[in-house]
Amino acid sequence: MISVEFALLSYSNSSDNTYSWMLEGLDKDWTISKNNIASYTNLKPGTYTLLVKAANSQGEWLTKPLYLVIIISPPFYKTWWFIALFILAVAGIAFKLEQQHINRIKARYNLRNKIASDLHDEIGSTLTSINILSNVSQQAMDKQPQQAKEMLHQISAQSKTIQQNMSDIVWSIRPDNENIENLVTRIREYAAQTLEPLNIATRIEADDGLIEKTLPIQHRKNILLICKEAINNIAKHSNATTAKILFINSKNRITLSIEDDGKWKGNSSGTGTKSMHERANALSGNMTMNASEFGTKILVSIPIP
Amino acid sequence: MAIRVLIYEDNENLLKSIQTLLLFNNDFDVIAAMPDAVSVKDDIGVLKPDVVIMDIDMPHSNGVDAVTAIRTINNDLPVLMFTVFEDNENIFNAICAGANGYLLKKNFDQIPASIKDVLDGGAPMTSSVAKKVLTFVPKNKSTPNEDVESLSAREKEILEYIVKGYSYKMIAAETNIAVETVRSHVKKIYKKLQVNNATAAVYKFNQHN
Repeated sequence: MISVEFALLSYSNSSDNTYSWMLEGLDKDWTISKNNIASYTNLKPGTYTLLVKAANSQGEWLTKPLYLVIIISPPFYKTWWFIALFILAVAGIAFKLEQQHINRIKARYNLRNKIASDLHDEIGSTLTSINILSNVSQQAMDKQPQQAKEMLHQISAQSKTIQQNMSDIVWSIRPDNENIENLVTRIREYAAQTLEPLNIATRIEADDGLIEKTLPIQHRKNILLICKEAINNIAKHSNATTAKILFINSKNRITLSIEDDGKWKGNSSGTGTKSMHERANALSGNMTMNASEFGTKILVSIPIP
Repeated sequence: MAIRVLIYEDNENLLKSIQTLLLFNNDFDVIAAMPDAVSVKDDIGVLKPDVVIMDIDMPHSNGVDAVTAIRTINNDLPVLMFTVFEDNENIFNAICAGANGYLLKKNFDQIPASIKDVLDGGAPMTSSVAKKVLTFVPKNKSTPNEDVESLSAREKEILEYIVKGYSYKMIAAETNIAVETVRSHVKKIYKKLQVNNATAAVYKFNQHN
């Protein structure tokens, strides 16, 4: 709201003075009044000129109207640059949110695909194999009991594998297993189960700085399986008396050191070792294996995302 | 003499398989295999088993409630819960209700050994269950309820090792005590959970009346 007060310097019967004004840019006509205040509300931003004329009590008008230029500048949020910036910001945020949304959908999609393919590869195919073996062993039972027995043995071994794979997949998916501490716990439990009956003293340690860090599903699963494979190798091939697995914290990387003091009798190019290499590569990491008379040492280095 | 086993398990395949597994082992005599535990009190009265294997998640009846029911008439009968790996909440509740141990379904082949272990007084405890125990048992004696038994420093230390996945053997090596001592500590933890549970039950009972 804007008010302009004016007065004619004529003091005889000043209450009979007449005023007339017009705001150019808004008013179409002059306003005539005995009042000496012109008030305007809600003026839009712009330039106006207030013209004022006055007459004394005798009705003699001033020859020339007085004028006052009034510039209403727009509030900052109505300036063109602010509006442009605002639209840009909104568009930017919307774009960012949309991208995050798309990324989340993509991540979820990839995860579902990965779980589906894990289930298919590791569970589905083995179940099919067990089904085939059990059918064939039924047929072979009478005529070739020795083969049937061998097939039953395979069924037993394969179903045990499925059970473990299933358990690992379920474990990796569960959200409460995200931190490295839980991974170490699971490996420790597996090592105790596998190596203690063979009287192999086992130590599994993780650097303090590592324990609280979290890992995505694929990392958890692959590191778990690398360790399990290594533990199985120690159980099967090493004849060791001690085994040690260390999780070492190095800059943005996790280094696994798996060591035993046995004599390696296995085949370092076997499928087990190959799959360990593949799993390390799948996480953009690398693996080295050093087997000697005095023990085997495996080093796996993996970048932490 | 063969150990008389009574089994409760609602999955028919699994029930048959355990039965078969134990039938081929002369140490065991499966006296009955039931798909649910609705009539558990009558069953143990009539069949007089040496040990009960109890599934937790069954239709019409819950294994934890069944343990509670057994404990109202028999305090000494060993009850082993038979469950899936992920079921910590229920395993914990079953121990509080008076179960003597638990077997994980994935360790199917260890059933005979586990039964004998529990009969010999062994108390199993895995990482995830230990975690639950630690959060549940009061940390020290300053709790308002004087009847609740808290864990000793040693028991707490052992639980913390178990939480990290240490086996009883590894804990023994780590703390310089015998494996048997570790086991007896875990057994005491079981006892305390059961005592606390009973106290809680009496407490609740008094609150309601």
